[in-house]
Amino acid sequence: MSTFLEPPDGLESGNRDELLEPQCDIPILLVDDRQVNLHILEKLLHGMGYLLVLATSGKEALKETLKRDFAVILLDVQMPEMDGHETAKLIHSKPKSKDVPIIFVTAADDAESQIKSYAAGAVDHLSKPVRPLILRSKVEIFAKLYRQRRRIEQHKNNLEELVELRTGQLLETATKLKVRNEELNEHRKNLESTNLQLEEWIANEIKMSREKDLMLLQQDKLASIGKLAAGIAHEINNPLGFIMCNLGTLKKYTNVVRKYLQAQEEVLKTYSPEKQYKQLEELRIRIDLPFILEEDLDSLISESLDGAERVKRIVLDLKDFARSDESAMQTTDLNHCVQSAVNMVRNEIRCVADLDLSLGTLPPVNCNPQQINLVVVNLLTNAGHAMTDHGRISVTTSCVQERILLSVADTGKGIPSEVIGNIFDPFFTTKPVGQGVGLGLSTSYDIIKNHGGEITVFSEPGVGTTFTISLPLGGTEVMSE
Amino acid sequence: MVVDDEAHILSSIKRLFRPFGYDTVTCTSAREALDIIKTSGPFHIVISDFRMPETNGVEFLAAVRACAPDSVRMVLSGYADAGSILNATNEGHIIKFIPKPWDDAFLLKSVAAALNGGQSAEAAEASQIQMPEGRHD
Repeated sequence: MSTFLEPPDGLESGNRDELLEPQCDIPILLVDDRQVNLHILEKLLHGMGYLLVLATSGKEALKETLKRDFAVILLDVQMPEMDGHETAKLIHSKPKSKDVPIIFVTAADDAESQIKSYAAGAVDHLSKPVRPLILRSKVEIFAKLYRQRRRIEQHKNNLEELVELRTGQLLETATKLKVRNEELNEHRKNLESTNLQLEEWIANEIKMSREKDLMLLQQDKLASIGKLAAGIAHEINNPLGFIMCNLGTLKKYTNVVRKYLQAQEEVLKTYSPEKQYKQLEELRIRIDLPFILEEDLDSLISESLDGAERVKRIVLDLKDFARSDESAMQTTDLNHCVQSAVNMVRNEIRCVADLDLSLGTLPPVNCNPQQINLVVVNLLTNAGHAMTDHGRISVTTSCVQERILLSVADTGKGIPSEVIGNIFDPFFTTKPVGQGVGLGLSTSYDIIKNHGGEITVFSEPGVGTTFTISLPLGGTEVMSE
Repeated sequence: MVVDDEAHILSSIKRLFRPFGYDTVTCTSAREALDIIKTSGPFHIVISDFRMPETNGVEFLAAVRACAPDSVRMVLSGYADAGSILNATNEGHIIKFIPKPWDDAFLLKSVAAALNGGQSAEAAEASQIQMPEGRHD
């Protein structure tokens, strides 16, 4: 930038004298109607560095002064047509030549003639015959003046040029600075927007990593629940095994004992003395034996077997829900998944809603049963939480055009339209603190998406909500981790 | 011969088999069971639990196969995942894997079939594994 402010070439002090000291001759106009006089004057002034211009009449002189600027004019007074004084007045009347010094050269040496000359605008008056020294020194004075004037003019021109140049440079610099400033502004704007994008990106990364952490935590939790469930299942299955087996044996024993007692009863009735038989009969009634033997023993055992059967099923469900090979896609009966999930949450839901199952005939579907289980459990739990009064939850499965449809519909309070767009976002929840972190639907969404399926929601506030899952029969090539 | 570390299991099975006239010997330890097989065996059928403190059922039944190759071997287990079923059938040459809690009728049928000699171990292998029951409701 500093280079713009340095003096331009050619204007340094070293070159200045040369420019102000013109090598050209100093123009001097000699006017006389006689050639001989002109010749004399020319001779006298020759070799002094003057450019001598000759004119033989006032008219000619006037022409010459219009063409160029002269240092001085030596003007003869007595000339035909237009005399010197008249010529001088005309020359001084023109703007271009109004200041040109005029020296009259005349044969008349009287005072009156001199006064006339000065009145006509002369700077000096020389009488003929001219003395060379006087002529030369007088001409030289004006030559010097001319030289100085030219020098000043030159100087002025140079200064103006310099100013113009500098102004131009300054303008140019200003323009460049303006452009530069605009560029910088643009640059700053770009940086600001990049910065904003970076901030957004970082915020997003943080959010995603937090989501991922929570998902992993959720998966860890599921995995440990799985291990726990498998261990518990085994522990329960052992005692359950002998309880069920023993109940079966007890049932057979009961029949055997009952048969024996019936046979004994026949014998006693026929052969025992009446008194003893009556006593036995009384005892039988007192200890409620008819009821025990004929009515209650069978239901006691079958009810117990029924209970054991239910425990068995719960354990199976638990193992289904949290099997160790969690990430495997397998050919699955989706109704089985639904049933499993329903069994898991039945107790939770029973007190808030009736549960309707309408399971259609489904072809096997390639999916991860544990994950689908989890989705159905999530939807059922949400449906349960949506209930204000005791309502109804309907689970429907069907197969339409190579896709399996599974819907969970509730008669709960519905989802307000302003939040329905957010329900699949991680951490979005309308439940009170402690009832859910807002990952259920987000996880479900991811699971269904990974299966190449879709999950959609339809909700009417005050009427209810229906979630519909659509799964392709073949599952998807992309396996979820 | 029935082996399980849980005595109640053993007595319930003993009760189940009693009406059919089977001479049921029970044992809560795999090591003791092997001793009994060596001294008073061989047995027609050896049924073993899968998870036991000293050894697992598959290892035990493999040892049984070494000293009494003609015994029919079955596993009775509450730990019924696909991996352990596969190990049981491949390593122990076991013809049946019966999950706990077992279905009495299925267990009795399996034992009766083995005693009738109607099926060799090879023919029965892999085809007779009873999987956990499906739901009915």
